[in-house]
Amino acid sequence: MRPTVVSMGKHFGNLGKMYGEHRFALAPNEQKAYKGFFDQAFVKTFKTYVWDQWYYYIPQTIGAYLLYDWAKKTNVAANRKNPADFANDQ
Amino acid sequence: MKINNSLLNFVNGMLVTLPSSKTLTLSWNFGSMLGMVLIFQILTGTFLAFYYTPDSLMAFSTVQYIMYEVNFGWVFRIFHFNGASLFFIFLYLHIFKGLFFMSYRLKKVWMSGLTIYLLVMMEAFMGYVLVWAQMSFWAAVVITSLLSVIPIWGPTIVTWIWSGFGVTGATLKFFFVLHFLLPWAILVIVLGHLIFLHSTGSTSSLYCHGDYDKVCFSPEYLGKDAYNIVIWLLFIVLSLIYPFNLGDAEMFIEADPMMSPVHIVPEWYFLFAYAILRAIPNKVLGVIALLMSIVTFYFFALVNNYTSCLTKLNKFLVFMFIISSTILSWLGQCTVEDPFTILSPLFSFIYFGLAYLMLFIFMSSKLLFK
Repeated sequence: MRPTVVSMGKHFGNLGKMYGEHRFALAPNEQKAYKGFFDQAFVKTFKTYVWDQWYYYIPQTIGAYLLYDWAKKTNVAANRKNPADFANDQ
Repeated sequence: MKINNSLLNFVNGMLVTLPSSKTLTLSWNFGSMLGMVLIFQILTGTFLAFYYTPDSLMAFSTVQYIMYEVNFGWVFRIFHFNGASLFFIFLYLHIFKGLFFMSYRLKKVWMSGLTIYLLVMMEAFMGYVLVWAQMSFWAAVVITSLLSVIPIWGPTIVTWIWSGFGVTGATLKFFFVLHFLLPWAILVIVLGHLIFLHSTGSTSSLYCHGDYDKVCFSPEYLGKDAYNIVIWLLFIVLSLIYPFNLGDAEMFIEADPMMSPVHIVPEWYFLFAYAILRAIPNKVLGVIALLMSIVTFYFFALVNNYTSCLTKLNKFLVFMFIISSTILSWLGQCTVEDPFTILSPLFSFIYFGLAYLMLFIFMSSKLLFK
């Protein structure tokens, strides 16, 4: 929202000039409370945040996890003896 | 009567009849949730203060007394302790949302928000110390000692905060008073934060078709804040089932100045800053980097650019920033050992690199569209 709205004293009633009017109404007997619920809540959400935007975060997250896993394993290896050095002991 | 009417009109214009964009999603609930948690923390904290004694020999015992003897004392303590984590969860969500939608275009809101963030960090740190457990005591020693890097006045400031020559009971009294008073100051700044926000309205990534296509704030968005109750139910359930999962085991041992813990770590919400601090071998530079990890974002408010937004590039960078911050947080609780000592400076560099890259792009994109 633009800062001009309030700083110029705009409030409901003088926000902007509108020509013509479109009106939409739904009769009570036409209403279905759960119409589109599963589509909006699950399918659309999945599409919006995962299907269409996976390249923003999924590859980076996988890369971060692989780095995390590598670091942990390297740290464990650095804190113990190298078994190969003792392979000939018996 | 005139004054009352003016005040009523002021509040009405900001909370009821504010023309608001239709595109505000649940991401805008983070702010209202933070307001609720702040009030919640003040209430639970006030009740805990009834039984707490900021004396070095009794502080830890009074905490145990609250847990075991005071009626419902354990509930208040668990809620207060986990409420701090809840606050920081939503604080970080709120900040990241601000970065995604480039909310730093609203300069006053951004500046006051960062100030609140810094004050809340101080508040959380001082609260951590009040338990007077091993981790509390030694965290206080480490963090207050950092102030000694201030030129000329550093050692004096440290001695003043300690009220002596080490972290003692006097330090505890100092922190208790501040821990109790600071939230009221935060409350005032939060109020200012809200007034600044509602003077301009929220930013959004979708530009509505001019000014005329707006809805009233009151039934739509005030009512939408009721969705927060879902988070509250989750919070209560998780707090009661896993009361101390976000804490440290050393918090159950009374402070012992003669023996430090094997591994000193701050709470989870400070780990990224702690990792940055440790990544730099020099103490002065480390403290400067620690401060800059937050102060950097003040610079975003110095740029005059409202309309030129590269939203997709910004989204990519913010996701990268979130991931690098998460890795830094993990590194902050790792020991100072082989691969971590390489990764900490690397990700500190990435953290600052991404922050300044976002700033640079924000400055430059205005020129692109000039």
